[in-house]
Amino acid sequence: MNTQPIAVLGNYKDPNLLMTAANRIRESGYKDFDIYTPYPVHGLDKAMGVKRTILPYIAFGGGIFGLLNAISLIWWTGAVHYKLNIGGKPLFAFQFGIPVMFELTILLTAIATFLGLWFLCGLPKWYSPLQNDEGFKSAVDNTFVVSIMATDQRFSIEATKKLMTELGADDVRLIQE
Amino acid sequence: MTPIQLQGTPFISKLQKVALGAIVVGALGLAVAFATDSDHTRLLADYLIGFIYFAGIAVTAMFFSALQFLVKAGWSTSVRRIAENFAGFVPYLIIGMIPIYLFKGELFHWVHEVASDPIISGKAPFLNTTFFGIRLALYCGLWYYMYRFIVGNSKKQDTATDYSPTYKNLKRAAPFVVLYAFTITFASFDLLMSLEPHWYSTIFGVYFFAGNFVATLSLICIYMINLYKGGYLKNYVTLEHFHDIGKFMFAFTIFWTYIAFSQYFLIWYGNIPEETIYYVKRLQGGWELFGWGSIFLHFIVPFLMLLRQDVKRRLPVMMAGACLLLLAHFIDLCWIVLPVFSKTLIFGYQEITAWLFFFGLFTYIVAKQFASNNLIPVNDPYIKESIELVS
Repeated sequence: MNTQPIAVLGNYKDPNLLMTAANRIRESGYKDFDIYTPYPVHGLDKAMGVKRTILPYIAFGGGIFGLLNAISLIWWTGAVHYKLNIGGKPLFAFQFGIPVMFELTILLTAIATFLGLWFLCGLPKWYSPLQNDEGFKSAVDNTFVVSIMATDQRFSIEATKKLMTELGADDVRLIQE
Repeated sequence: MTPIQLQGTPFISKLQKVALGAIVVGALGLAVAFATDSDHTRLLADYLIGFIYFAGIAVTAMFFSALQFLVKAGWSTSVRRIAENFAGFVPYLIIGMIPIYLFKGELFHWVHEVASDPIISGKAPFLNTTFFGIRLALYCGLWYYMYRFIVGNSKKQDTATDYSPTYKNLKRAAPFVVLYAFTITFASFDLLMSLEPHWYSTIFGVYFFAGNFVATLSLICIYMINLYKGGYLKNYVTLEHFHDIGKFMFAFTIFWTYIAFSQYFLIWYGNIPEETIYYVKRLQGGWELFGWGSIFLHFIVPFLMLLRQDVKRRLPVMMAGACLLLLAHFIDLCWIVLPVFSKTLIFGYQEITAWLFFFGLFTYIVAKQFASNNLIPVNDPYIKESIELVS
């Protein structure tokens, strides 16, 4: 069976070393790399050069969609389809519409944020080639794991391994599948 | 860390120039209004608006300082002194209250009708001139006491060898916040809600607080921007602090809207004449321009303006947002007070010059505070946390 290289992994124990490594990997021109940490590390996204997410726009879009939905729902049900006089109030007024508009805006914003996050993270994901690596599993415990993916344009097994070793990673290894 | 003294810097002289200019223009405008209009009620109403505007900011700035102690906030330590300098206006509030008490008959019509009007005479145990005067004096006294304690200890910490002044503040901050809540609520009942003695709204105090808090944060933001651009806050205030104050402004803009709508919504739905009269007066005769305009000035525009994350780090936008919110608070106060005295829309130079007059007085006293106090609470246990802030 032919094996394809998937990624080069390296483990770090020291967060300062990890920060330098993230900077150096970014400066070397790698784009398709990721770092797995057991807890959020401040400043790591900056060191990795992670671009700002588009999630806020998805959330805002969801909110606007919810708002328009609420307005049309209240207007159509109350003033068009089934006119009902309640306490002499107008059939449609923004005054009594606002609680519904507010709730639906919040609801759709929350749903859009949740689903948008799943979409952007590529979830649900049932299998990852990295998941069987024993060293990778320690990323949920006490180790920072750096992965440089083979899909990166600058990837070459030898050079990437060398870079990772130079940057002080333990247990530099190639994942194949 | 070396303390930063502003005495003799261009910032102080600029502030004093602005203050004196505003006082002169404001006093001239007030004099013209006094001479040209034989009925001085409107002038008194404008005085009330201007006074409440800056009294509210000063007292709320004191509350802001107490709040930072209460929650042991780290981010705000390097900007807290700005709020504490605003609170320097608090000792002078008693002077501003005197004309309100003397001309209560012109401002508050319950003063004359307490015997003849059955509704108001039912409220006589609260709405009588003796108790009214006692309450006004009590607010000023309590505010002064809280100011001396909180701000005094905060300043003492600058030269103290241990952290005992901060510990004193940490202990007192909680009861002071409660005391502030009561005083600001009842002060809003006395000074604003009793302009319409038939009407009542239990949420009015919260509404007043929300408006004040937004205005205070906006003014802090404006001072921060000016000090930051002048280079006085180097190494102490970074864009992270602007981000945090921006989040605060944004959140409390929404809070104000929430409270304002809660008040309006229940009254609109209940539709009881004694409650709706407040909005009936304020949503016709041209006043609807202020009422509906507030939705844009105080909510929609600042909301969209401050929504994005990166905007809170762009100083020109923050400056514009803060100025807009300060204007919105002024419009809001005018909308509460002026319809009592005129069925149709009145808004002229008198309102603006009365505001300018108080703006000048406030700025002059604040400039003095800036000149005499350290700009940064250098000895505060949280100052290091504040400098290293990442929001």
